Amino acid sequence: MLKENGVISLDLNGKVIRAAILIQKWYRFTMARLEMRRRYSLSIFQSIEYADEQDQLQLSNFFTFMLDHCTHPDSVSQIFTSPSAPQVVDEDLSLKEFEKKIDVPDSYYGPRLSFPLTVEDANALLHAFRNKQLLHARYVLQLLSETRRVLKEMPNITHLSTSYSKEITVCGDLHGNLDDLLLIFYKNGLPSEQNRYVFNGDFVDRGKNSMEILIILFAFLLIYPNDLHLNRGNHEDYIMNLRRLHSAVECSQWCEHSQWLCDSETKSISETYGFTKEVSKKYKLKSLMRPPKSVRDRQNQTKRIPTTKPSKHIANQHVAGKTQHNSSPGFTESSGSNLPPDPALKEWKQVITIFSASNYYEEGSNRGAYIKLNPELIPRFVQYQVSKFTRRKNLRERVGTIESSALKSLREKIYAHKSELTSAFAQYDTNGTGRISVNDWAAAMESVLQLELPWRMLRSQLAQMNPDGEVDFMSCFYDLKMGQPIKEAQPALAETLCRYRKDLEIIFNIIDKDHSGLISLEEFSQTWRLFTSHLGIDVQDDSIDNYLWDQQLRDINAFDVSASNKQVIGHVHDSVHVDDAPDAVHLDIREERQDKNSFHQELPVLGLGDVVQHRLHNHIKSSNLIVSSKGPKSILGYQKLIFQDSEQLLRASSVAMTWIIRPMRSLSISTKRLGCDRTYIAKYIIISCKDKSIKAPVRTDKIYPVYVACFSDHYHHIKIHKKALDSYTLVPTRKAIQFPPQICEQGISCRLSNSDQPRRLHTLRTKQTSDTFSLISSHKQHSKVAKFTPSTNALPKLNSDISLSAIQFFKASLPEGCQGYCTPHTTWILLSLQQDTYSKPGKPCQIPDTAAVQMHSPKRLE
Amino acid sequence: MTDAFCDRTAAGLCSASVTAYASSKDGLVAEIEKKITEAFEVFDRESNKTVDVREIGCIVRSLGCFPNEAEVQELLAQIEVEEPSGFVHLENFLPVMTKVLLDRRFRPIPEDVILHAFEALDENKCGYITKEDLVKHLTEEGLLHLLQHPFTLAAGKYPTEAISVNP
Repeated sequence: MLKENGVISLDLNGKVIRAAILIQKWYRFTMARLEMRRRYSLSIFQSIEYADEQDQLQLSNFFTFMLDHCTHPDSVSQIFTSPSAPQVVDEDLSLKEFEKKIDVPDSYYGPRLSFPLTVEDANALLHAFRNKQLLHARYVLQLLSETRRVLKEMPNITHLSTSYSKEITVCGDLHGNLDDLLLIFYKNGLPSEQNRYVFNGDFVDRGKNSMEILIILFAFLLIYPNDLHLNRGNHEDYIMNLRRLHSAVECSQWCEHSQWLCDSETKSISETYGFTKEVSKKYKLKSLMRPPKSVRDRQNQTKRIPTTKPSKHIANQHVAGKTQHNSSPGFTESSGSNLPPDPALKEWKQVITIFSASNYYEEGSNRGAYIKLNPELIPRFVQYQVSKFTRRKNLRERVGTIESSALKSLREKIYAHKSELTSAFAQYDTNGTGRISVNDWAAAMESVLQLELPWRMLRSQLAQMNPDGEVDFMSCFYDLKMGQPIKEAQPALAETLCRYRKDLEIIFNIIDKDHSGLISLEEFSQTWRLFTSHLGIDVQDDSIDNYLWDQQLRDINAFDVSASNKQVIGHVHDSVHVDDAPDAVHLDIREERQDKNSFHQELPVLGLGDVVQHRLHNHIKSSNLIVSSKGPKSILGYQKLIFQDSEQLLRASSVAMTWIIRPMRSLSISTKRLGCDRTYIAKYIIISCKDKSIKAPVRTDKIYPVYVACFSDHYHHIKIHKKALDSYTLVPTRKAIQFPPQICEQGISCRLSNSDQPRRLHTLRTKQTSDTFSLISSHKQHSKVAKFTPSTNALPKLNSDISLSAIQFFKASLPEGCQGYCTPHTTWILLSLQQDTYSKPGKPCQIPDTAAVQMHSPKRLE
Repeated sequence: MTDAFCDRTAAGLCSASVTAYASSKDGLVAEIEKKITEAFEVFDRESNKTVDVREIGCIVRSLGCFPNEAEVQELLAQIEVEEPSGFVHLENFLPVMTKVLLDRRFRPIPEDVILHAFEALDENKCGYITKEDLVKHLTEEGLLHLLQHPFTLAAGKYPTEAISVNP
């Protein structure tokens, strides 16, 4: 600093200089803080994504293992393949046959392809996709079958040489970002004999345009089979893609059975391949391709690229990322982060990770890159970033977006581990002040979440601190209320569901093999059979199912539909308001007179699997009702039925009523990680209900068992608990409960884990008692499952309070807008159990979307 | 502009924890070292306890310090840099930085001082400085090497109020 000597001019000058120094220091400081925020945001993304991938890998391994060791592969392995197509088409289905089978309507204005493909076709495709057009399904199928044919003829290992062409361009993960691909083609030129490309896997998944990318790449592959090379990545995999499949609109399903060509050291892979969600949105088609071989085949054939590092660092912060020092000779480019040019690269003793999807986490989060290899194999890295905006956001805005998005994901994690965190905090908080030191807070966060994040730095964003420098640890959760806070909500379930949301989605989608959004009884029993057969347990679920079906059909057929329309509707509403069952299913039958004689009714057919719905329709048809099912709203068991007159309405509503109330079935699977173990718990609840308002000889009370199957991590043991549920009954007086005799007598056999430690499985209990409506269970070593006798005493009652709180905690788990992370099935049932969600006339059923946990927008805490 | 100075609170955090742990010297040192390690690891791309030497300034500043470039160089002189890779190992960085934080060097500049600084450059007292003026002042004084990421306001003007920070 300059000394002030009292001379005015000097003083003025000195003042300016000092001001400038100050501003400069301040500016640098500000920039450093911004950079820090950007960095830790990316660390958050990276840690979370990495943890998720690990989880999914485990899950995928688990199912693969199950399949591998399944005793009846033929019967059950189909579950894990894509839904089997109705017509199994011969593999050699030629182009012409597709042409014959599928018509392209005249109204189709998208690109038309003619085979063999030419560059013009590819250009037309690029143009069309740029303008967000779709390619007609027929061309897609043709393209795929051609690609399969071509790939099959190719060798497993392709050696590329730079001696023919000047340069080879290597692109990394695209992850469905079509814009990135278009940008690469724009900057680097289209693939051609002079401009050769290697695409190194992970074309699909996550982004919105996986299908388009694949079509383009395949098209170019067909045109230049020797100049464009595709490697299969780990995302070109059936299970990985399931996660993204939230609500396939119809049971349309894509499966592609194609031979993936790989250069480098990859073996060729016959692969099931579905990125169903996107495809089913764009192409509502049943697969005409041959259903892929089961995953078992894949097991035999898949050998991962040996040099690909299993630990995949996704999208490194800076595009000029990191060098992975790898002593293995040879080189591969594996997906992941990018590299700055490094002199050491010349020796090719390193793995280069190149990642080509820009804006991967969030708009502006990262740049993408590709490599150009010149004949001397010296790589040149080209970086780019796709942006929708012409004006580049300034640094502060960009960092702000990335940071808030990162913090949001982090908060989701925090919420998911709320109880563990609370207890971890409590350990440090010996005096019960609710405050702990920053150090302890950071240690607790790290011990629970294990994300290796700079917690001290993030503290100001996550928790409040009092002036003494102690963290008010409960403030971590302040902004994390999900949906309306409910006083009696049982947080454990919501937390568990939230934590395993992605796993649950995968599991659900695996079981829900036609991707209808519902798990039908068939689907469930298939899975069931898979597990049981693997575990060598003889569970005759067929008998159970038959029993249930018989009951349901009998009841339906016994309907007395003589009551008048009004009465039925009245009854329906009455029944809703029966005091002792506030949680009763509410059926919203409302009249919308469109013209004098037709009623448009929306009858929710709740929670019924496809099969049930199917039977319902059959029944209605057989009763001379014309029921038109309005399309694919059955995602969540919700179907719009249109009736021609009041008589039909009457019949249908009474039919629907019983169907709705009685055999609700849900499947929810919860997982609980125990250290490194994980446990899969399937819950299968069948609740029966009787409605007094329907004049029908419905059996007075019914009870169906709850099966709780716990699939332990070690796959050796299955534990089946049976618990009976009291019926939801609308009748004030409860009668004796009859346990289905078949089930009682059978006494499902089970073995308990012989593992060293008694394992505690996660319990999902309602608040009130432990013996009701719950997933069971702590194991005791060698204990046996009690058999339930058909006596009333042994059966816990599901009283209205319990079911109410059950609803409440599901409700609590659903943020506003009905985002759910439990299975759509369960969510929907429980949602509809809840009166106010459903009873508002004129308000259409909100179909919960499983897409995302909608958190409240994160507020800055300080 | 708020977040630019949320580090004021971060700096406050530092001093607060200083008081909280003043009783036990070891605890304080350990706390500071953890803090430094965390900040360091954010920049440690390869997770091998090294960072690029060019990032050191950023790390120091993100720990709530306000050094100028010369002071950063001074720090670097104390830190052993691995030649020729230009990487700094945490082991070398940690003691130097711990001492900086313990000695509470490079304290934050109070806001009003920053505001005064801008006012000093705002010769016409019009409440803002144009981008050109700012760059001119800073560069002509030979202090600012580059304004890499200028605060692009729409008008290209820098209202002193906006730049000074309201926490």
